[in-house]
Amino acid sequence: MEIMNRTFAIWSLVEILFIKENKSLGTALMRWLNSNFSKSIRAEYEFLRSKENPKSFDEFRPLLKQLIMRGMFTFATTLLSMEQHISAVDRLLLITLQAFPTRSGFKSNDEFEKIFFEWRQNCEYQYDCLENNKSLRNNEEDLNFYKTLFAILKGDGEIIKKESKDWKEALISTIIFVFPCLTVDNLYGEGGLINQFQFVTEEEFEDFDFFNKCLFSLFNNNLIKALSFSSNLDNWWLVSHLTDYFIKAGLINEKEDILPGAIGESDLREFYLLNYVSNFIGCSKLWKVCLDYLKFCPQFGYEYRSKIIQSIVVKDVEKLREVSDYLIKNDLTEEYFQIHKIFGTFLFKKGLVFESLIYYKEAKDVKRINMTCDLILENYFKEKYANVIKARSIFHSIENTINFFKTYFKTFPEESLKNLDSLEETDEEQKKKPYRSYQKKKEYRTAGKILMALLNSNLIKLNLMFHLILESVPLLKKTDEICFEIDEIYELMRIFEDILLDKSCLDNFFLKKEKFYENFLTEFRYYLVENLSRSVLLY
Amino acid sequence: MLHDAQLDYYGNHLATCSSDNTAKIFKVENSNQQQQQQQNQKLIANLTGHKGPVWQVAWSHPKFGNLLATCSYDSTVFIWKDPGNNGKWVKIKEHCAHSASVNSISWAPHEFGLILVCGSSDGNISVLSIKEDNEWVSSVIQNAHQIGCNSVSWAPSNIPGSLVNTSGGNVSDTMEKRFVSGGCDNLIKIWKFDDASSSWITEHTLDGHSDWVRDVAWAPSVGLSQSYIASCSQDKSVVIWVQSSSTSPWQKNDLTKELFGDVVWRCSWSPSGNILAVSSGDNKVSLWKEGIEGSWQKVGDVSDNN
Repeated sequence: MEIMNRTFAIWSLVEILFIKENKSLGTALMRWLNSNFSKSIRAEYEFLRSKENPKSFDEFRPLLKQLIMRGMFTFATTLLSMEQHISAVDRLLLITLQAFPTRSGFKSNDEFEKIFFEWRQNCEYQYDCLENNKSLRNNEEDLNFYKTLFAILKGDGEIIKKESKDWKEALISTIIFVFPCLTVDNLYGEGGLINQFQFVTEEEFEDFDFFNKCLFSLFNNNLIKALSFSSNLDNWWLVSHLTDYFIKAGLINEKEDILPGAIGESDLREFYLLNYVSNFIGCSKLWKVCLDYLKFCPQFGYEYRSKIIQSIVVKDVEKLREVSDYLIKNDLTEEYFQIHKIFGTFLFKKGLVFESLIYYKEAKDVKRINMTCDLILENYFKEKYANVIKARSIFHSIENTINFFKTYFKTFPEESLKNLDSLEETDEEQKKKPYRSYQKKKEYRTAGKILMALLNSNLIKLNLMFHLILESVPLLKKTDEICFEIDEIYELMRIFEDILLDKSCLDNFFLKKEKFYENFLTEFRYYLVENLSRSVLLY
Repeated sequence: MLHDAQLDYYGNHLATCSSDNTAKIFKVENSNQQQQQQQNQKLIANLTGHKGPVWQVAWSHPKFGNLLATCSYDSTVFIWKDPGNNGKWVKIKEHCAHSASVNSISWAPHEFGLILVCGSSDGNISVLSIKEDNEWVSSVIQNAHQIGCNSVSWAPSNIPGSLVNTSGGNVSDTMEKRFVSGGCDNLIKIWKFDDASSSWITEHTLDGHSDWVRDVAWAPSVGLSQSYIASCSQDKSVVIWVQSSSTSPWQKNDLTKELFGDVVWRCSWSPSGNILAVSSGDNKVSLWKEGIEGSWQKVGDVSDNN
């Protein structure tokens, strides 16, 4: 809470001094002081307000003086009006306080200045009266107390400085009562108020805590020092935002004013931003915030980006899409590849080998694609199709051939479909005709579709299926065109292996030419896997 | 010093509170003796327990039983209950959500249930309510007014204009939880309960005083289209804020062109919302009424003789 209060105090001071144009610097600073540093004063005020006769308490006079010093006139007049029989001097004080002019009540500075100096003249007059008019005081103690109060009101800089509890109170009281029309430009510099009145000596400044050092540096327009002190306040984002603001507002020059930071060639600003971001790199939910900040860290931001992207937990496609969208939107191409590579590896480790290929392809990671394809090939030859099929739940037979044609085979003419149905079961060559006609026309993809349709159509007897499978070999051998989609290759694999299980189908075909048979099987399987890999990359 | 005095709904009981850390309840009886009406007050309860001056008292609507809320410098709000049959008043709730003096309290219109809003010198406003299972719950609006909140007042339950609105509709559709607060930041804030976020949000901030706002009072409504809020301030002025429809902005109207003789401490509307009573530091209480042409005219003064 203390950190937040300090941060708020620093930011509100920056707002007053550097952001907002205030009609009256004094009023703005008075509000700042009383909003941020008046907790104990307010507690004392509340305590006295709760009493029947506040004036009888020892705390009354010191508090009244401090309330007046800080321009907390409403507090002061409330306490003064609580007396049942207000003394003449208190009434005088009450009237004087109630008549205090504030800049907001006037249209121009000149008008305000005129009325303010009239009011101050009246305070001077009242101060003189205290000496001469005995009815206004009871004793010497009274006289001194009220003289001090009126000396403050009439703008006696020395008294204000002497009676102030700290440098902030002294500085702001001086502005309120001595220089009510002071502007920010008159605050610092050689002839500025701060130098002129020496509110803080060098020794005192050295003894300040970092918070007060930071505030005083802001008042003194020494922004680099303010940044430096604020970096010691354990609030990592304050200094980053302050630096950012000062640079963007042109208050400090990034190249000239900010000294090289502690890391390489990065400047102080980037160092602070990186320092800020590094505090929540570990929190994967804040990845967007991190990356947004790193956009403004040209020197070392890229290195951090990779770290952040690696820390994003992407376990589903939806999250991947969210991250990808952000990366594309921000032209983070390398990071886009990286996140796909990470997700591909995540799937690969889960055993989803084929799916991982899709993301490796998106990541343009040739090395991983080759490695995965080799693995698939190796597994396929080692365990045939069984495990591969188990790993993939997409394997299913297409029951309704007609629907298949209609859905997936838009270019297939209705006529051919009808002809296909009307053909006799024995007329196998006739059934292959549509397929061959497309092959002849070099429309290999269409030919491949027809072939698959035939294989799934139940129109071909099992013992003749192998012949049909052989028809796919020229298509599989084609290296310049993909003739089968992923599902179709799986289907080919399944049908091929099904046929192999029923050896009687093959006996007639190979006539016990064992070696040829084995070579053919190996070769065909190789073509299948090769085509599968290519299909995965294409579709 | 006596800080507040409030009659209950039927005018039978008067509650007072003072700097002696107590609140007192008097039975008020009317009697015609010698053809001259007289009022007798009989002290029936002396409520002790606060550890500082008690600033305000507030009676709840009688449908919740005879409940009295008191707020004090000791940062607490107490709710007292009359058990009936001349039993002793008992404290049924201590509300300790604040870290500084609680300056003002106000019960919500009974249609919303038993809800009490409290404004404090810690700058926060708390809203205390009772659930169906008789458990008290409270929510706090942090930093509602910088330096402190001096006054709170509930808006009438019906949306302005609901009486003259002929389009019909459900009664609950025309009810909106709103209240107004005034504070040491010289501002008046109108708060509205946002059902979506289940929290209080600032609906309007009215800036019209140059010093602390000492009191705010939302005028009771009989369902006419305009809403009125009166605010009085340390700057010796009273402002009547008028909103012509629920969507239009609040217009500032000074009660008088001249300032009052001293700080204006309290303002209060008559039950029908057409007369405003104003009390100021020069020991004067005046009554004000809006003229036909819209300006406000003093219709009387209240003195000890009245």
